[in-house]
Amino acid sequence: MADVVSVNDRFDIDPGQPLPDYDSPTAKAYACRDATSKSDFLALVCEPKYPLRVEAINALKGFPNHSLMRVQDHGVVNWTLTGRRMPVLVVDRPRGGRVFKSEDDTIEPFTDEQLTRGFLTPLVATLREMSQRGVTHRNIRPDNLFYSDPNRRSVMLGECISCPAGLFQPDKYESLENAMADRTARGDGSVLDDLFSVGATVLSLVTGRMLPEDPDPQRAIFDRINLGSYACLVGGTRLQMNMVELLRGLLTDEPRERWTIRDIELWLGGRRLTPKQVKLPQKAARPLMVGGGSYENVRAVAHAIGRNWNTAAELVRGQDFDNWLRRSLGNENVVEAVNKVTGGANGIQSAPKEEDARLITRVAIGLDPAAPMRHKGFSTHIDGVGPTLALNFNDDATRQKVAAFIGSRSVGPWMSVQTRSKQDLLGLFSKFDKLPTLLNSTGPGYGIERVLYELNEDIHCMSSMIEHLYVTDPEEVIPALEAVAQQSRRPPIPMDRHLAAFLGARSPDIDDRLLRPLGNASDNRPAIDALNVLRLLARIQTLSRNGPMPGLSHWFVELMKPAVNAFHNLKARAAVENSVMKASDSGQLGEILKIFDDQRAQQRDQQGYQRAQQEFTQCAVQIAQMNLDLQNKDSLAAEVGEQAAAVVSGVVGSVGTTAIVILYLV
Amino acid sequence: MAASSANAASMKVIVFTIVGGLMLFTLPTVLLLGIVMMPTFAAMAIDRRREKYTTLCVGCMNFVGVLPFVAQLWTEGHSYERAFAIMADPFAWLTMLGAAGLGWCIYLIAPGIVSMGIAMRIEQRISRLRRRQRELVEEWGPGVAGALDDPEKREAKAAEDAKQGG
Repeated sequence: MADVVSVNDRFDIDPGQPLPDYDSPTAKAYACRDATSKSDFLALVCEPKYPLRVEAINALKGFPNHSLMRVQDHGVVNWTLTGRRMPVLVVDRPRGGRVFKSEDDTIEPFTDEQLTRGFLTPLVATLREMSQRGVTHRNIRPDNLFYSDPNRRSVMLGECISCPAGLFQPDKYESLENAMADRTARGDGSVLDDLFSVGATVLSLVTGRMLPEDPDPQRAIFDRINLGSYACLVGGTRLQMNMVELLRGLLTDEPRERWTIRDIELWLGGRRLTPKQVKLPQKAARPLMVGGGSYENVRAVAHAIGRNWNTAAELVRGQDFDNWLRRSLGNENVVEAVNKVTGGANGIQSAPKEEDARLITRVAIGLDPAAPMRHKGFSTHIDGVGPTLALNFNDDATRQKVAAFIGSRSVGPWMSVQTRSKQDLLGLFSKFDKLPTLLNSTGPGYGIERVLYELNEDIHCMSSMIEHLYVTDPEEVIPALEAVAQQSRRPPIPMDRHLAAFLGARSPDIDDRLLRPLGNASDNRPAIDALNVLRLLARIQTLSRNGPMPGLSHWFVELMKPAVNAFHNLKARAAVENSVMKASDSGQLGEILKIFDDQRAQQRDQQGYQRAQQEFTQCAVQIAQMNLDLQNKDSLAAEVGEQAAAVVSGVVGSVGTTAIVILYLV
Repeated sequence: MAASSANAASMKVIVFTIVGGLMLFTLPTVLLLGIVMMPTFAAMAIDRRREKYTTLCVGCMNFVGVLPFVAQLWTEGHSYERAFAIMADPFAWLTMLGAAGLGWCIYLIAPGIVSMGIAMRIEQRISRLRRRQRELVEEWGPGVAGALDDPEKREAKAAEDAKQGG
């Protein structure tokens, strides 16, 4: 048994005992045991690049139902196999195996009994509980189902928290609104999206095989729009009448028509109704040509212009589109929504040419408010932007499309045509409202990195310095930097754009006053960059109260050397050096900061230095003048010497004359 | 202006008249002085300065050397004989020309002594200024001299100093 790894001092993971049958697409499964109760669990060691659904993890704590792979605990561990810190989820260990081992796997089709008692009955209780907790699963598909008992009588849902919602869901297991979105941008959705996935999963269980992937996903989406998802998914499959009723109810594309949990419960209780006819989208009187294709209904047109955004502006500005919308379509609600988001025909015509992409985005929103927002080929639900950026942050194209989407300010118009309760959207709206300002600021702490952390409240800091330490809380930053400081090869300065943005987004005490100076290139005082970083990290250390950090302090002592040397007065410099060493020994960054934050002392030193320089120069000028005098001393002395000689002679003559007169004549 | 120049001219006439009258009555003395004050006349002839320092220097000392013999002439009859006797006395010539020579010595030595004095005074002031500059460097570092104002250079210099110290 390899050295066990402990999670929160309760669960022991055995890295030597992998359980590949329980792997998730983004996590490797290992045997795990509760140290107190000795019960067996699964430890899912997650890929750090995939954001966890922390909100869902917290909401699912203490989940009573056993038909879900429940989270027992989660944490971050030092994982020797990868040589870094990794997020770990401790979840229930299913007693049976996986229902579908892979996408190509086939099984014995479920009987009615197996389906109702073994799958739907526990599932309904699970979904109801999740719905009450405000969480969606969004990972319901056949290869994420497990038998919860060794006899394979009951089926439980796999985990749903190790990656963004719907990331690994095949399109056919997603509702049409989610399938239209980019895979990374499907968002958490609602219980109705889960119910659609349940419908597609039931279809797989009763046929004994997973639904095949479409060779042309976009063609498949248009088919689902035009023919309905039920027709496309079921196709020619022969089903029992009771199953037809269930599947028609679950696979309907109109969310208001889709079966609810209550409907399934009634169906399980024996209610049998005549299967609903699939409600197809309303056809326009004539089709509209978009990007070379002909489309007959409003959702198809919206999807088509979203995909052909770079050529659709001409169409949208033309009279043909206006006529089609107002006359051929015959749906006043759509006309009203388009007018609302675009400002009507006048708004469309007066939109500047350079804002064509924004115009197309708004027209698509007006035509199909329930669909994802589409901007320059990026198709996203409002809560899918963050995961998209997190998953592909290092991809230039992704960063550009997310930045363009935020810059288009499409969320406001989208909100104005939503039928969902406004309350739950207000938080998201206020968040998106401030993003363009943050995005347009270029300094550290802002820009696309800040957007990343604003939109993903739970992802770890992706700074290259501390990414391997999986820091998710500002309080962990200082200890992480202390670990970096202890390394032999450390970066030039303990700050970068990711770290600044992470702290700006996560700590309410880090505001513009601390972040703006980080990018102030006009300030050229010595070690000013280090001083600004020191100010920021000292604040974090004060707030987090996680003890002295001698390594980091010594790092700053080295970084601040230019500032110490900037003290011209040697005695003052020696005193500062002494104080800095004492402060560094304390391990408190605030103590070091106090020394360098005394601007009056620095001003006094600077003024004194200037005076000393002036005095030195005056001395040098005087010395030079005197050296010149020294060279010319003979010419100076000639006149003065003659004068002195005359005086001496005069005096001697006078004295001599007086003496002689007295001697001879008196 | 015209009045003042007229006054000066009349003053000169009066002075020349008085001096001329006095010389007529003291011809032995004039003879003696005219001969033994030759060094002074020579100095006057070569003195190009307006202030006539050379003349003053030599003249004063020459006069002091002559004065005892003039007094002797006056006290011993003030005659041509006595005047010639004095001029025939080598000791008298030694005294009179020696005094004039002393005047020349004073004139020639004084600038050297003054030059030395000036040099001493300047060097004292230079050394005081240099001491002050050293104090400034000790207090503010070599950067105060301007040449090493760059902190990097200062650090390099400090490192060099430390190496030498080690």
